[in-house]
Amino acid sequence: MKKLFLFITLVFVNLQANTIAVNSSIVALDKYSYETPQGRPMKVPHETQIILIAFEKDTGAIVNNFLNAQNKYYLQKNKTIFIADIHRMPSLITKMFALPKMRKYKHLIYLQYGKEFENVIPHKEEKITVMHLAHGTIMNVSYVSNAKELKASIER
Amino acid sequence: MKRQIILTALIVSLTIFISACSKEAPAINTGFFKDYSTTKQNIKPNLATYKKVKIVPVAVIPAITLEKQTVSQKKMYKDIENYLTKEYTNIVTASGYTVTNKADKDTFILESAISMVEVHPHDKEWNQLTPIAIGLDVVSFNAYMYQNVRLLGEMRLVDAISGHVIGRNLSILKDNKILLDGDNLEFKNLKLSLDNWLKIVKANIQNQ
Repeated sequence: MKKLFLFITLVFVNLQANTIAVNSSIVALDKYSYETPQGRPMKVPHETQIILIAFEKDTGAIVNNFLNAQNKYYLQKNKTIFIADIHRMPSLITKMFALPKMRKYKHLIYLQYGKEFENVIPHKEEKITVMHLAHGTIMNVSYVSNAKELKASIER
Repeated sequence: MKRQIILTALIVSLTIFISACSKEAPAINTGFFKDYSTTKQNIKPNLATYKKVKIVPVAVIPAITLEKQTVSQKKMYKDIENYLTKEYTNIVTASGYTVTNKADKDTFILESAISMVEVHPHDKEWNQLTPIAIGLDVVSFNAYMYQNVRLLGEMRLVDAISGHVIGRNLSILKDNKILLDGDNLEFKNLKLSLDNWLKIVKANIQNQ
């Protein structure tokens, strides 16, 4: 019983250690692979100050629709990147519909296909995760649910 | 039977459609070499038996599709091609070779390509030969802004008769950060890298 309790504790602590949260370094994101909708590998710049992350189709659409209405360098000018975790999307849907659509956007999208990412990034249902960083360290994690809040988060 | 034919046709159509959907590929390396997983593939040539050189115009690989290139980018690529081709001629002549358009038995062909790569020297997982646009676009903007772009020079010396590769060089100009002036990439931002590439070309051709 004691061994089981110890095992469970160790697993829990390990999971917590891998979670990316306030005070985590941006370097922790290097462990995961990203690529553009065109398939080009991307690396998260360590100078990034804002990271937007969407895990669902609808929240992804909020971000994409908002960014598509901005200047194509809006993200870069605001030292922001957008990561769309699409690992849950069926691959047929991804290839036939999602990727062709995303390739038409003028803004940059970092696509994340791995299963692990969702387990380490704080997120809430129907919300977009927003991380604010300073000097490569996550200072704040918040959640937004519409374009107005998204804009305020980026341009604050 | 009819149902099977319809089902087969549907699957084939879907497969073709899916393949077509994934046709738009990211920037690729120039194709001079078969392998872009390593920079360690240079061969110093032995040019003792050669007297003439045929210079092929430099291939500038912008990694921006023609329809998306701006007028100033097109001009910049042409400037790079002209500058390097002219300087190759100077190097070849100064080294005692005659520039020729013919493929004779004492002739080698100088082929080269220029492109850009995104580098992250401290990241061992990152392919340091990952191609990137010669110019700003949404993919390359941050890489240029954070000075993670370097010029990649590639050169191949080929025996004009046999077609054998007698020398080759693939070099990332690691020490030359590409620095932007504002939001534009111009020839002047690349000149230092180009001149250092010329030194490598010269070192390969001279003193044979």
